Amino acid sequence: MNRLFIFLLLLFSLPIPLSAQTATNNVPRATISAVLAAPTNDPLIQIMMQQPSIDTESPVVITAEFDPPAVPLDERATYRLVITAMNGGIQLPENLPSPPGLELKSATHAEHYSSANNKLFPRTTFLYHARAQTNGTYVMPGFVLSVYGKPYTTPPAQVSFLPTSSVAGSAPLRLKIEFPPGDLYVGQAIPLRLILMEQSPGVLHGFFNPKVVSDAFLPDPTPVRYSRTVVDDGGKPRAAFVNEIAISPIKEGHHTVLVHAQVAAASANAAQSGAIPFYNPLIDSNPIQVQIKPLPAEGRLPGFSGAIGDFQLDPPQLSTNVIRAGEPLVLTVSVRGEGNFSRLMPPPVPQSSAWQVFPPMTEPVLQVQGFLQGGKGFAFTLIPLNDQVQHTPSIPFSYFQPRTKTYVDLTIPPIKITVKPAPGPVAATPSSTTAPSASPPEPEIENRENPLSLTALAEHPGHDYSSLKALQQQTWFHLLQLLPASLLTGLWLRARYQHHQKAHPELAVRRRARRALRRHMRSLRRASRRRDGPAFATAATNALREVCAPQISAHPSALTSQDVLRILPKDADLPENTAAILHLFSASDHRRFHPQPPPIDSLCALESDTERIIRVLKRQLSHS
Amino acid sequence: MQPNLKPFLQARVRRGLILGLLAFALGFFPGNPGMAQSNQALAAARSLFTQGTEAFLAGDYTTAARLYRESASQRPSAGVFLNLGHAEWKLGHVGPAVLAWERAQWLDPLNPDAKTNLRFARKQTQLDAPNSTWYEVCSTWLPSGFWAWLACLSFWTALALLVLPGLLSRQKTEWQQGLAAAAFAVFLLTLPALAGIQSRSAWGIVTDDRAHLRITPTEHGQILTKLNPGELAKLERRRGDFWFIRANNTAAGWIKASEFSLISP
Repeated sequence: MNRLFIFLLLLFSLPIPLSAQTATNNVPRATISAVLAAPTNDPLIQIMMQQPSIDTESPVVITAEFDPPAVPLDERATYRLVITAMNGGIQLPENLPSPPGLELKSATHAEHYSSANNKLFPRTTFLYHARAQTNGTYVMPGFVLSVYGKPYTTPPAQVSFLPTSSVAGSAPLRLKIEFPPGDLYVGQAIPLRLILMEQSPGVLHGFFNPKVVSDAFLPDPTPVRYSRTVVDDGGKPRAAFVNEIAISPIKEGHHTVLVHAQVAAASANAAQSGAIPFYNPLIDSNPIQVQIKPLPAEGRLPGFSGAIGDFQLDPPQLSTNVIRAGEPLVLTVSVRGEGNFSRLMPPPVPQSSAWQVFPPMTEPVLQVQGFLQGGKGFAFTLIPLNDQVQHTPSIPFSYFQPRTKTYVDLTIPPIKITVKPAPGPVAATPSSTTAPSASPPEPEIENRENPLSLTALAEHPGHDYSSLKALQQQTWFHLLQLLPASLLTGLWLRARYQHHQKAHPELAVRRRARRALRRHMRSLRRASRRRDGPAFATAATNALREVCAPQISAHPSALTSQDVLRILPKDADLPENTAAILHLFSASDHRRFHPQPPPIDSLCALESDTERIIRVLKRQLSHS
Repeated sequence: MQPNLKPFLQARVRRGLILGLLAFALGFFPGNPGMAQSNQALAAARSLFTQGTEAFLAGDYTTAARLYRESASQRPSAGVFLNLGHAEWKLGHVGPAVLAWERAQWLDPLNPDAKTNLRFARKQTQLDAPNSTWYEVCSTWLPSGFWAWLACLSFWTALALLVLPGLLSRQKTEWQQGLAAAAFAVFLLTLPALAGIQSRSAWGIVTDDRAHLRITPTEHGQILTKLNPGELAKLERRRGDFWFIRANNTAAGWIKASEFSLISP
């Protein structure tokens, strides 16, 4: 196991320099080496760096043998192929070229390491089960396999299948598996006896690294128990090495179980072979079929947390029997017996309004003499929430007993305690976490200092709001911002306008002129409709004055007909226009200065001419 | 000589228009207690609150919770939510009780009763207190509406003091500039609180006893974990009837919208 751990450490360390090198292609190699060689304070890295390296450069040695070389016809031999390389670097042919009549069936393989000269030497063993139909000697020819990408040829090996009566000598090295009597259940810790019959005295020293080859079982962390004892071998007492391991089935149904292990053999034969510097051959057992049953659903009791075996409950103990409400106490429960202690979970404590319960703490497994026997403690931290409590809560707990195939109740009984009132006011507690309470309301005592109490009812609703939505997320609040924004924008536009007006005073004069022109034009049309010649003449002259005044920077009332004629553009400087203007000004002056009203003969007939002239002058005003 | 009243009249008309606009805005100001409809709702909410308290004291917590809920739906207030939390707690509804107290604290973070009750409930049900960021903590120092008004007022004051002298062709005085700087500083200080309110508005409470966090927003989506009623979580996005929330312990997944309620819906 230590070797495996070292190997895993080295294996996991490989990506570090590799990735570093990949990520730093531009960094000189010397820099990378310096970084990698830099001392580190990490003890794990230091341990890893101190471990011997795995030897992959020594010549690969391949041995092939049948164990035993001579075997009765009704027995099987084991074809053992040992390669001094790591399993990951070996590629075997899919089907081994076995001689006709010899049936080879792949059984198991394992990888082990041995240490020498501060290096780890890998060794991978492949086991095949060989059977023959007829007596005879079979030669397994050499075949080509790939190790670390290079081709190697295995040596030939020979096995003889003989009639049962003619085979003499010791039995082959083979493990024997003994399951306990009775049914096997999923989750149960099953003690497995592995037996290796002793050969000639002094040849074997035991076996180690046993491993169950099956995906239906998990190894139990219970330590392996070794012994050398006398077992019954077909009615005869015989010395044997016995290892007891524990496994836990994880799948129900029929499963094949095979176990392999390394044999600690005397080095006499190994030394003679000289091919491999160490020799702990891998052996296996005959595969056996077992049936794993699921735990029965019927009769399951409350508080079952996966405990399977045979357990007893010690009297539960309390850290104190007298306590104040709100103070914690510890309830310690010890479970003893035989079973799956390594996977034994504490039972859940039922929720109660009178108790505050914390997740239970599990104490380490206490191992005792018997295999899979021991004890385990659970510590429940409980807080009484009021002084009405008189007992600790009853905690349902049960286990499954494979012997009787029934669930057994092991409920942790309540213990009488005395709970004194808390120093502060009594805490109000929820009536239930699941169902409505029918009890009358408890008096609410306000105590803001004590966190274990509710406050009193509010007497007033307090300040009310239109919505729970945050003010900043309400649309009207955003729209409200438009008010100051528009005010400031308006003020800014006004200031800008005023500034523009100051810079261009002629614009105001023109605007005023256009406004007055519109007013006079309205009067002109009204007078025309009324056939009021004097008024028409006055409105027309006023309009002409207004439209011409800005163009010569004069006051409108100061303009005469000559001024208007001078401003009149050349394309409009026609005799009829001149006549109309003079006529209008004359009529206007007559009305202004003469006591008799002017003749109203043809003044209104000048409306179209007047409007045309004004249009021309207005266009000129806009373009000036 | 007749006096020229035209500019004077124009100025009066302009001022009248501005005041009219202000009056119009204030008239439609939500929550304005002057509005008749608002007054009716307020009176009804107060009446429901009183009836709820009477039912609570009579031991009829179901009726009390219903009345408090109706009162809160008309005019939410911290006191109504406080008492609603009490009624729900008495009924054993941990999730709705925590939600009501959280809402009370949302409306009035200075109310110590909401804080005390929440601490008590979380202690009782072994729920984690919210892991608030610093700006979320800042936002709880004052009611959320206060922060918004303070930000609004300080911003426009600072802007007006900076801009108005120029617009009105007046000389900028030292006190105006100092006040503008102070108002702008206040506005900057309110920004983290506003961010905190924005962040807290996505908080919600698991209200259902059988709420599950799922990997996908579907009815038969794989369940990640079971959520305890009263557990606080932050809403990140919505999709149909499912909301993607991140619980306080950073577990994130989809939950049915009916099993989760926002504190500030």
